[in-house]
Amino acid sequence: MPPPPEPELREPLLIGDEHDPDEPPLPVPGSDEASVVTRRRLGPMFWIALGWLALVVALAVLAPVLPIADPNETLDGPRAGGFSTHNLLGTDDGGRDLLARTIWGSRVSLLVGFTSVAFALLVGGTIGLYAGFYRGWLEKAMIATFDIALAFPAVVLALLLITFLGRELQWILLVLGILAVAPVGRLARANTLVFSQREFVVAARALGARSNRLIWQEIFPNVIVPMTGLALLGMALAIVAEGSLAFLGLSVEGATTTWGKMIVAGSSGTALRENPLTAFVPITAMFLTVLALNFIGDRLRAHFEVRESAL
Amino acid sequence: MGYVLRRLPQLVLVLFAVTLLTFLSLNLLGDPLKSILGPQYGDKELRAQVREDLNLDQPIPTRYVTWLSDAAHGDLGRSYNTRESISNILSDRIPVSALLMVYAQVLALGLAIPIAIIAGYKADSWFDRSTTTAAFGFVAVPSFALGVILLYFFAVQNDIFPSRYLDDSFGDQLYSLFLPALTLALPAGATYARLLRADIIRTLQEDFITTAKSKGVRPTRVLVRHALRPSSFSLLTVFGLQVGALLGGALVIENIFSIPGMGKAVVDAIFRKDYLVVQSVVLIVATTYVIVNFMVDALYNFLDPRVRDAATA
Repeated sequence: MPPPPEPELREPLLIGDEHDPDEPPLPVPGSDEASVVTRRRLGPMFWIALGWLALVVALAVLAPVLPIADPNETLDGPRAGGFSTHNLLGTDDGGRDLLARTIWGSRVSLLVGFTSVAFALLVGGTIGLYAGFYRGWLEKAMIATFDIALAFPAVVLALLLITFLGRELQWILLVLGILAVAPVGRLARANTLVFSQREFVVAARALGARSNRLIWQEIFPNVIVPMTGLALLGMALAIVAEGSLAFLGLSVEGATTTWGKMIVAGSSGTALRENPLTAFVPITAMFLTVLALNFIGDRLRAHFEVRESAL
Repeated sequence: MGYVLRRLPQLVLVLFAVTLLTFLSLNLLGDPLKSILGPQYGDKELRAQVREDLNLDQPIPTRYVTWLSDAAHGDLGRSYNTRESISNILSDRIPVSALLMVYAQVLALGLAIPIAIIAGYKADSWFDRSTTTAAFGFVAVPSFALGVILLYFFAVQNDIFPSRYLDDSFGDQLYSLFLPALTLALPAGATYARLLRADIIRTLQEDFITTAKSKGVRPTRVLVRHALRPSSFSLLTVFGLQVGALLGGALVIENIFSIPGMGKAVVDAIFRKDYLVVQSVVLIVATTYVIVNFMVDALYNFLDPRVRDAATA
């Protein structure tokens, strides 16, 4: 058997760097033009997914002013009732309106998704940028720390930290943010490594630009773009993580409605037998949201990905 | 063997860090007694007794070493809530969780390998397109949602499978664990299938496949002997990573199907604020994950001649 070929250093695909992604792409010599065009186009599913997300976000933001029932109020109508004109998506076994509860529950899920990714981009992204730029001990320390964080299965690390910190919303947000730091930091470092070697960075350095300017003005804008795809996948993971924590009895404490807690309440054998809607309404909402985030994230990642394996 | 010896220091280091972090988590709230005793924190006598039992007056490094060596000998301490030894609480539950995870992996591979071979062989056929779309959906769907859906359709609405755990015989165990195992297997299998399909499509374009075909080797034999074998290495790596997802997933899924495994033990413990039990489960699961990944890496190096020869050369 011959020794494995040396991994070649490939030039990353720099879509969106040289020209506007909306512009029709130039035909690449030697490649099938049609396939390039399909790859660039986002497709109708992309816009449907984006539309769903926009709807969910709008409903969550507007929840206090929407003409929906109080999510914690027992209504006069039948308990565990099916679809009706009064309660569009039915009521749960406590006679509470499922549509209202799902909309209020989405606020926690979206908050969890958004803050965890924002935290990870802020902390992991910054560490990754500096580690990839300066290399040396900083990079080694970062890799070692991330390796340890990733040595735990994610759910188990969340379980450990939340058990001992407590089930207040701020701790859940913090822990899910911490979980996302390592993957984001790794990608930020990988991208920074690639871009630090590019001509425009070398040119800026030759013109006398300081390191901080190089990092934030030259490299950062190029690194942040390919990370949007990962950020959306991270939001989906955080939303699912809240659900997993709910099944472990570790979602937000108190009366706060969350999708995870709604699904847990509706998924016991008796609840499923008497009124499956109690579980299926929040499951559908979460599934569609997670699917949309995955779909959009996947598309964006295919657009912008720098192969880590090419390093 | 050489690989194992060379990587051993790294394994020890990661195990040290993981166990230390697990140990120190008790101190997150300041006084570890708050976490250990939970609702009984007000009991002064008990506090003194626990302080004595767990040598809380000793410095942290000493306590860590004692704790770890006790755990390595199977002594995880005892719950101050039920007064039962934690090893006792968990010893019946670990085999159940382990069986569930092995079962899930077997189902995942059993589903993924044939589907990926057919999809890769007939790339862009209706079969390929429908399975690829389904795989995308299964990777995205939260596993607990899948669990609730399966529970509803196959155990609540129709009594095809039992909605509780039966352990009278191994057959009963497999029968009652089928739905939870399938819940874990579908997302894992989808990950395997996606990877394997792409791998097989790439391998089928290699020269040695053309050679084999032109020599008149039957298509099934080309697929299994020539195309699947090189792909199995990348599958092995992902297999190791999926163990982590399964370990975490099983803790959650057990609670949907009322399986008396470690996940159920964790939830019961969290409910009772019996945090030492949670810590023990985290210790077991995290060290298992680290060791499994290490073994997968070692196996990979042992099996793949390209990596093996490069290492010895």
